[in-house]
Amino acid sequence: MSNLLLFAAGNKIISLLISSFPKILLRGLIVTIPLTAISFGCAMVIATFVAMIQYAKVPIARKICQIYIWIFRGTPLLIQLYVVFFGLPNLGIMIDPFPCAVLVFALNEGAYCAETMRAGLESVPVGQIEAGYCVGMSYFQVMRRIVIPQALKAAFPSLSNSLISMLKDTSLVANITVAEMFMTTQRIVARTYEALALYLELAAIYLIFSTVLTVLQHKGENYLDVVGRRKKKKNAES
Amino acid sequence: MLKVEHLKKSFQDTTVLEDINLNVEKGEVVAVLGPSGSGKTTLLRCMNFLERADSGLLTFDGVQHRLERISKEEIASIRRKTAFVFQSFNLFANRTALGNVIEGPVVTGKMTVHEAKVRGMQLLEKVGLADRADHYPAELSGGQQQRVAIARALATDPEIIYFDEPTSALDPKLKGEVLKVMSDLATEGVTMMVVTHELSFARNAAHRIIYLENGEILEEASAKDFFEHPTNPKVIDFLAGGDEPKELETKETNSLN
Ligand SMILES: Nc1ncnc2c1ncn2[C@@H]1O[C@H](COP(=O)(O)OP(=O)(O)OP(=O)(O)O)[C@@H](O)[C@H]1O
Ligand SMILES: [Mg+2]
Repeated sequence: MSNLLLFAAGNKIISLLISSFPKILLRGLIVTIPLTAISFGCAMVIATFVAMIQYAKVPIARKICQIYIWIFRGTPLLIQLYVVFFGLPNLGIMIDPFPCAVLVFALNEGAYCAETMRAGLESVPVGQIEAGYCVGMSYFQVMRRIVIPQALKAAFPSLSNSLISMLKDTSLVANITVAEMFMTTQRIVARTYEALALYLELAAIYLIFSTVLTVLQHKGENYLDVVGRRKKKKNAES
Repeated sequence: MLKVEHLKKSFQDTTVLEDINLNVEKGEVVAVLGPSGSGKTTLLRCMNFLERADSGLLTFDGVQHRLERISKEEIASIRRKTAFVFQSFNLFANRTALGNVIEGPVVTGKMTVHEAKVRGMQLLEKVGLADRADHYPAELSGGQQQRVAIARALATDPEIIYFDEPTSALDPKLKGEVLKVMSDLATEGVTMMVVTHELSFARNAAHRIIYLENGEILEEASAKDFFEHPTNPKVIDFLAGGDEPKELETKETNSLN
């Protein structure tokens, strides 16, 4: 009798998982992924600018960049979301949940990635820059043709890690009423009380997303490492 | 072709170059010798504005420039007509050997990519590396990298090439291949100013020697006079002592064997 009950309960959970899976996944595809992609794209633009200003030691702008990085790295992401979404309306500034999330994530991630990029820029040997000037390049040509490509390559693994972290951090935007995967799951739990099964399911979906990104990261690193790839090929041949 | 007058350079409060005067004629090979720390690298870097001289006059190609207030445009125009070969090669790590060679002519608009590639292959052929055209610097030996760097320097048809100890970072086996390429250029009439510790190269390939010590030119003579009839006691000391002359002796005994 009790076995039968357990069996029935198990069945119920399985059918709940099956019915909830597409709902959560859909939120992932139409909210989590676009939010991550757009925010990260904006973050890259911000990071590149900020890193280049610091690298070139542009007087005042450099100080402003340092303050920006100091603030966004030194305060919790969740509080940044609250300040912008719940705080700014007190000043009459209302931003919709999704754009608000993009704004905060882009600024937050931009601050972290700016430091990664700056380290990448600084990893390019001065000698190559001097050689660039000597073959007749201008400052911007040296940056675009020699320094930035090598800096991006050096920064790629760290930037990929940041992207994966950010994908997971998007679950925080449930707090500012963006209906992404976490909020959707919470709502289903509120109806069905199956917290364990549903949150594990949600975790599994995040795991699928980050696994895909990890695979892409390895592909990207391999693509960038032309020399290493050739060496492997050579070793395999001999 | 190149004339330097009263060039001065100091770092913070230490004077590194004191009233340098020199000139280089078209087709001439000038070797700059001197003990370590005498200011040879600094002098060469001032010629190409990798280091800014404090004062002095530079006449290049008949145009006189005041070094203390030279403009970006003047620097760019001089750099377009000169080339630099570094001690540490400094090839662009994100470009293949051929990519390194074509970068200058392409970026300055002197040639199209296609023209530059054709010319680049000829130059790699000349330095004996046509078969390595699509190798990245990390896949080349030091000697090969330096030969690519020389091809890169030649690619913009410079009026003068500056060399800063081009073989110092190479082990003895690899020095020869680079010195050979440089000697060939010297015979072809390429104008060169070469800072070197290779006395045998200076003796055989250079027309004129400039001897620098403590930021001053102590001696300037034809290669023959400099080595065979040195007059300045410091030069005699330099030729007799230190590591460099020993290197020369071993080279010579080697070639005798
Ligand atoms: N960026 C710099 N800042 C301060 N001092 C410098 C700098 N570059 C060179 N010097 C000093 O200038 C002097 C001349 O240096 P330089 O490198 O020109 O000598 P060099 O003749 O090329 O020596 P070597 O044969 O060892 O290469 C040295 O005393 C050196 O310490
Ligand atoms: Mg030196």
